[in-house]
Amino acid sequence: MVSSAGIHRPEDKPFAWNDHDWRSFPREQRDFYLSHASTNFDRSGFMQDRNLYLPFDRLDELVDQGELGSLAPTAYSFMGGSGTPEQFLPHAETVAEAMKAEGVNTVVLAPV
Amino acid sequence: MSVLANVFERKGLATTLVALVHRHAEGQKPPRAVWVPYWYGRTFGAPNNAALQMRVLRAALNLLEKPSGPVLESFEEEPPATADPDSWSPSWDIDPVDETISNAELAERLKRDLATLAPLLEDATRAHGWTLFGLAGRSFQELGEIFASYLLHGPTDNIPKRERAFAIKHGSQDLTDAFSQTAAHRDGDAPFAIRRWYWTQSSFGLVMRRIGEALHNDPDAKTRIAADGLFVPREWKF
Repeated sequence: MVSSAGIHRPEDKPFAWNDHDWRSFPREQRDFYLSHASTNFDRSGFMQDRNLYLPFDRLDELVDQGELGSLAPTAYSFMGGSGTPEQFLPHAETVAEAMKAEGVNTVVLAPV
Repeated sequence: MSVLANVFERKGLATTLVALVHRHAEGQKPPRAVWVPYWYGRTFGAPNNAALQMRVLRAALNLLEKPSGPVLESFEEEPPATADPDSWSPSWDIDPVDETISNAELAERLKRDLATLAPLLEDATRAHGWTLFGLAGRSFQELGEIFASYLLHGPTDNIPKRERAFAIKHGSQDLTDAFSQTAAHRDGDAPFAIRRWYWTQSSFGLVMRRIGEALHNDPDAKTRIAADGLFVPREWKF
């Protein structure tokens, strides 16, 4: 699961508005800060239900129903909407390698 | 997101993307994407609507049965209706603020409204089990003091100049999140209405609009950029 919401664990370094790198967090993470620089998207829905950005409960249901094998232990967040594609490339490659090292074969990408 | 999808796919990972902006998905051509007709931040439809979230997720996952195209499909289900911004107002004890209020009165009003909001956010946090409030690392009272001081005297705080833009941005975000979470908890899911009331009627929104306006000509470039683009949604900037 990869989000572009600029979410991270409270103890992580917040995203700066020209950051193109990433934060990772365990799938069980329940507390987040949201340091995405943009003021132009809704955050109130996420506070009511994390599944609006990170549908882990729905993915768990699909695993329980046997439609998915298993879920990766780690999820990733970037801060979308700033910079050029080239600026994200090296970080995307690093995250791809990290996911493969955890045995991931499929990625759901969710922007905000 | 599309650039990430293309990199991941090149690295051997199958990807599927939920797209909020159709023209971006069309132009950037991620391997597989499903466009949804939802507002930014409402990626999987609506909060506490597991059935809709699952339908969106399945629409994305079903694309994995297709080759990496690029494939761009549309998910046509409209979002559930939410409160009308023209008639919405908070049900709790917080009044709209007059835009002609002086900075001195607004500073006092801000502190009073923060004192009202603090215990209500605690209720909402207990109900939701968490809160986004805390990004700035300051209490309600500290945020009230800092922003009141900015209104009255400009940036005379002890925050180093290179950190000032962040401090204001994160503090502003905390106020927005605290109000939004409280409003959603007490009055129901109403993203457009809550947002509009906050920025056009609340003391919090007016404070940030005035600070953004005042810092438009700040000598520090980072502060100017933040004031112009990151403190207040574009439709409500002075």
